[in-house]
Amino acid sequence: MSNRGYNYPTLVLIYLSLIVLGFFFFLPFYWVIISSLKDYRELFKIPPTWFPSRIMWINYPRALTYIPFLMYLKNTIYYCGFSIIGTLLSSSLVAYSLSRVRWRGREILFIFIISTMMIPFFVTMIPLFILFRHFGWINSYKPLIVPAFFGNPFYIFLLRQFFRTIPMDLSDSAKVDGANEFLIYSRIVLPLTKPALTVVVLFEFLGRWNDFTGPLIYLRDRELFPIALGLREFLSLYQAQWSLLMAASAVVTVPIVILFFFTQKTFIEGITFTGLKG
Amino acid sequence: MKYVGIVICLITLLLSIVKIPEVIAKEPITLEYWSYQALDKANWPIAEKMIAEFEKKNPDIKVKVIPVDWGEIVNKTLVATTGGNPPDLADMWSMQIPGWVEQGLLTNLDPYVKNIDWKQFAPAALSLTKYKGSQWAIPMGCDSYALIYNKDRFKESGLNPDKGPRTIEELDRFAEKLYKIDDKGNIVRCGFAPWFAEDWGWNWIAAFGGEIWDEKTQKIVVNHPRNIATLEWYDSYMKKYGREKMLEYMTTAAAGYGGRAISDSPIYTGEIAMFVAGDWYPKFFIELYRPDLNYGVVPLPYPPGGRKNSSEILASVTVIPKGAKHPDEAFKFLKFFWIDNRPFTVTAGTDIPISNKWMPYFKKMFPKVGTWANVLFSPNAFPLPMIPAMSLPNWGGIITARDYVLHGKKTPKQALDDLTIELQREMDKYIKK
Amino acid sequence: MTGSNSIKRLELKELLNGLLFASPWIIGFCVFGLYPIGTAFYYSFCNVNLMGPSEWIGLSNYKEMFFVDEKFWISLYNTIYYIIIALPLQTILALGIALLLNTSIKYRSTFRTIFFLPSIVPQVASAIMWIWILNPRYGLVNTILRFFGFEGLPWLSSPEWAKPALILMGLWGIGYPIVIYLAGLQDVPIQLYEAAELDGASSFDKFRFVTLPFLSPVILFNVIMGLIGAFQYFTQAYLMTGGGPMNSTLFYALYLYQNAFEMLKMGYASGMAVILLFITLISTLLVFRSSARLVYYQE
Repeated sequence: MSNRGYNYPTLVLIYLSLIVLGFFFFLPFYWVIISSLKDYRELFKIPPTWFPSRIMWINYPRALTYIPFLMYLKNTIYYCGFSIIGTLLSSSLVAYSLSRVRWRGREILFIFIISTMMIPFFVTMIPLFILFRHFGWINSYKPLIVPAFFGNPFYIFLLRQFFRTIPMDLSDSAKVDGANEFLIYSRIVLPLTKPALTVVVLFEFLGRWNDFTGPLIYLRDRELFPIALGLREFLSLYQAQWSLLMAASAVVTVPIVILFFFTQKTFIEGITFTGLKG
Repeated sequence: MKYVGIVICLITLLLSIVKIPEVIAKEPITLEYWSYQALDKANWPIAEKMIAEFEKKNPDIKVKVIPVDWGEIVNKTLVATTGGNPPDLADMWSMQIPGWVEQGLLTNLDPYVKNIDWKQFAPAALSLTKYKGSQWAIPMGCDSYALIYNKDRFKESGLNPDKGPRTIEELDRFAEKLYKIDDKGNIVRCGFAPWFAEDWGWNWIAAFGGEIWDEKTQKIVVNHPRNIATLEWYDSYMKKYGREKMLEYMTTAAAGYGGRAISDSPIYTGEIAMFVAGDWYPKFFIELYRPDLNYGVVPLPYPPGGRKNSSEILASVTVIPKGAKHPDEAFKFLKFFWIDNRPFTVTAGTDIPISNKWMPYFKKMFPKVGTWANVLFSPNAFPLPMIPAMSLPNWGGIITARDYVLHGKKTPKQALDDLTIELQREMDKYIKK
Repeated sequence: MTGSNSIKRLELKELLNGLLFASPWIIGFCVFGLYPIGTAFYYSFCNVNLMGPSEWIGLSNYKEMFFVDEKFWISLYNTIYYIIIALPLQTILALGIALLLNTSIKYRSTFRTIFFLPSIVPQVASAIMWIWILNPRYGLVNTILRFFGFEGLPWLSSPEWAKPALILMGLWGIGYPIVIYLAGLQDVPIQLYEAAELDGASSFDKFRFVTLPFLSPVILFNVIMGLIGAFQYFTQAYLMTGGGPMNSTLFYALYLYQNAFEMLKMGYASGMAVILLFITLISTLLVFRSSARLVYYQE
């Protein structure tokens, strides 16, 4: 990391930029938190108040009992957990094929895989539903989890890029030593791309945590709903429980913030390559 | 002896046959009802009691209500119905019905409603559940619009606070008195402008006597001379008070979504002294955000040759999607829930009653909302025509047309001519069929 | 002879391995992808009847799109406008912030979390918040503008400023590219920086000759994904403006959605999707082509 020997002005500049930009980036989260602590009448007051005049701590227990929070949380964790496992496994395997195995047609397959991302989900939503109905998977998490075990183009692309930055010499010399592809994949390539794999876990977790289109379409029983669907229950036709919605949203973001904070270690540790680099 | 044996066998056989239907009948059917009303936690318990009552009266039917967010319920129902796995009942809006019927997504309710006495219902509400002569939905509630005026501002400006404007001429005259412009020409107080606060484009067209669809010629007539006159009246406010100044005022005056939920919104402080409002304003906004507002309500003012006591009417409805597993039982519940009884929407004042049966009670409990209820039952009420083209985005395209006029980009005639062509193009596809 | 044989055998082995490792996706596509995507293509040539047989109308949908429907071209223009302005801005900003966050300053973890936060907040909540921030009278943005002596702008209420308003909001969701850049920056070998410093390289030189090449695979990823995502941009417009005012925020994907779910013109919408696929694919291939020489993989 190029961080040695910064002179004072550069350091000040860096801090200043981060603080100013950070202020804008932090703003929405701050707004969610203070809105969650406001009385609903104060929420849209003119001019807006940047601190609640009366802190309504009660919004939190109210929000958490307004909907069956724990049940939804349990469902969400189940959903996220299995999706992450499936995605990580399948996407890394496919990315390996597209980057570490020299075979004809891999570029064509790569382009093909990426092009499936170019069709918006709602175009294929109805035929997909019909398909899942034929399988009998409606009103379960199967339509959401099973496809995760078959690769996600976004992560396939991402991991392909990272896998390609590892020199092929490493693979080749391992092959000379008698290793097969799967061993190279699991013992060499995967460990060297820990930051990328962490990104996959983080993004997939976040994506599924907030995913509501899929659950909306495939789940019928309320007992199965994840939190993302639960949040929308705060919005009834004319009267939205804004403060409670903000409180619930705040609670919902906490696990991810914690996850992110702690997975950062992988982004901080540099990977030192033995032998071939440097 | 043999005969006794045979008789015993026959009796046993008889008894066992008699028992079987009983066993079959004991299997309760579960109706799945997707409702956004169920999210209204404050009032839904009344509905739950009613559902329990229904289940008691009909022990072979169970009703499972699944609350779905109103923004998503249409899509969810669409996908499920197309996918062959629809709920038995779903809440929806009247605007959806024509397009859905054309795609074969709804169950025709004609066979079920033959014996229903519709007289108690507002004609406007009924027409919003019919398409091509058949009944496709049961109305849950309706929306109508009227003019709210600020009595305090009236008094200040020397107007009689108990006499709201009844004609357009009065409206324009009162507005002039209520406007306050500073020396630089900036609008300090907006007496009135047609597009505040719930302008969904067709309200004033309804009051002006305009038309949208000619059933006989099967033509879109959105460029009807009265409609053009309406938009020209809109434009007159732009011209009178300065287009630039007015546009500037419009963008800053925080009306509309989010603007109603602020205690100091211009419509509550009287900065906008008169504005169009929907029937839910008293209960949902004014009572909550500005209970001290001193206001009066009149039906939308109209010009000579226009419609008295009119406004556009919309309905929220419940449908039985095509392919529902138990349509007969579903209708039984529909009839009980929304026709014979009105669970809570009326008792809570969140919807104006659409049946005469409830009017006296409603007017006593919610006097402020009485005007809106009258508009709904008025013979001049203007329910939006039930044609597929009306599901064009931006409220059948009228909001876009209106905005072109207000921003000076098109003349009223141009804007409405263009919209007519666009809507007719959509309708032609259905007429060809 | 044996040489070419063994090469052929090697090629075959590689081919089999390649297909084997890629099999999850291939199988998944055959099961979950073929039918829906094929249906979409088929629908584009039909007048779709959702509950019965659809009517084949050949190229009618496409003809209507190109020659009759002015909203088709308006929506295409809006999306391309968004891409041309938002994409470069987002790329530069994300890269810049990632570089800053990679320095050894204190509270680095906290800063990184802050920049990622907007991407975590549920969309409903952020849409409401942004409508408020962009409020012409009391919103934060205009308050700041007035503080610096500028006039407030009408933002979402005006056809000229609605797209810039959404672009501004989009800038704030770059947490994902930033995180990916941070991960990518870990791949840059420290030893090279040291070597460069010994050679007397300035910070800028280090960036240009060490950081940039090693980051290039990841930059390519973010640009391509940004492009694909921008072509499908629609959620914020759907939640906040409904395409208005006067179709100024009617993006291609939003118009597609309206055709499919509000107008129930599934065939037409499918046709729009097919066109979108081709446009996106061609743009993506162009980016791949033109960047081939700029991207450095250590092979």
